[in-house]
Amino acid sequence: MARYSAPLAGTDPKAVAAGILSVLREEPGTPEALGWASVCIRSGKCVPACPENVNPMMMVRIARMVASGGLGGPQQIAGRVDRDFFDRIRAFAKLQLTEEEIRNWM
Amino acid sequence: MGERITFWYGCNVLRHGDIIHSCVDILRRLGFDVQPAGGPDYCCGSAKDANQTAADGMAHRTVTKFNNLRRDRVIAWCPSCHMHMADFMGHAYPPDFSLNYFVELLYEHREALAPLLKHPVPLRVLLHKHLGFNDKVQVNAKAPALLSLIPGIEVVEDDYAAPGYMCSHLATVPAAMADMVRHTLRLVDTHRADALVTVFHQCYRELCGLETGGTTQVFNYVQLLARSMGLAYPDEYKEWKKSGPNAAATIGDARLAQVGVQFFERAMLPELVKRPVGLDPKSNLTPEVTRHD
Repeated sequence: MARYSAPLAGTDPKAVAAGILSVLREEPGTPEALGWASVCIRSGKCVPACPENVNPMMMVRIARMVASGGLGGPQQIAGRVDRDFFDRIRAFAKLQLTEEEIRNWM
Repeated sequence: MGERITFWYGCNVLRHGDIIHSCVDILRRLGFDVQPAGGPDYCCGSAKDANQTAADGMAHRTVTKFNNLRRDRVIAWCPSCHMHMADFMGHAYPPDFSLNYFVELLYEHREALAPLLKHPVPLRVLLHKHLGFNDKVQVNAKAPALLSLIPGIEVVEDDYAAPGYMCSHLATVPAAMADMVRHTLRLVDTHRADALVTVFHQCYRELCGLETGGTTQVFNYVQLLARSMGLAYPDEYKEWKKSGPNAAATIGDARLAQVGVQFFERAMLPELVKRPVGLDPKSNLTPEVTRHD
């Protein structure tokens, strides 16, 4: 995704990895690490490529939780805020499921 | 009595009542004793990255409710729910059930499924594949194998798999989404495919709007299995999407009143008028987009 994200163009992969580790230690993240955590779409191509035999996709996923303030620390990246998320789901359900299905399936 | 399973359909697929109803019917015709479960009360919590206290509460509630159902297997429809259960929920709260993905279960029972697929569906289709989730469940091989059971279906072979594990994540990087859509439309054209077929509802939600551009038909694979089985649930979401700004009229006043006109216009209509980025396969421009998912 680096070519689609200006802050990531030309970044050093080692710097990204070091920054992700900082975020996981609940330290301030580097711009490169926060950029990756923001745009990772979990293709998983990093997993077999990792020479350390760890799961970088999972590291970035957890770093995203930390950096978005999920564990109570400072918010370092923008999180998705969708106040209608669950109400929208319930509304679509009302349009397409019967009352009995809503009662028994939800 | 068949095997007692929980069909965990998830949250966002509730946009597609036809898919949920078709899945339940397919499972019942295969002989399963099915308890469907989904919606906010069975949320996996994967949408709550920025609030792990809430995500943890959801995980605990959902695993506990599944344990209380006392069914041996939970069959997940949603790849996000499946991954969240496998990666997080099931580690925090011990499940009293095994977890499978819907494609896996159908593939496991493909010999029983085949004779149920009686009606020909004469289509040459391109499967919309992704990376990522395929490392956990080999959907990129198993979904076309299931489609090939349908009389009349021809699945074209192509190695392309889109980045990300599903389109709704890819949509967070609009330029990448636009490139993927343009490339996919070129492949449909190159292979002279009649239709694009998605595995995940998240991709279907994003891509069914391609039909509004008149470029290709789009289906979810379950819709084609259902059609071949003679199940006739209407794809209302696609109709609403095609109606775009006139979706309210298509839904009708009485049904709209169930959800509230103001809520519909604020929270539902925006995604119905949204069209896939990169819709023009010849365009090299990245259109400006607004994300509504």
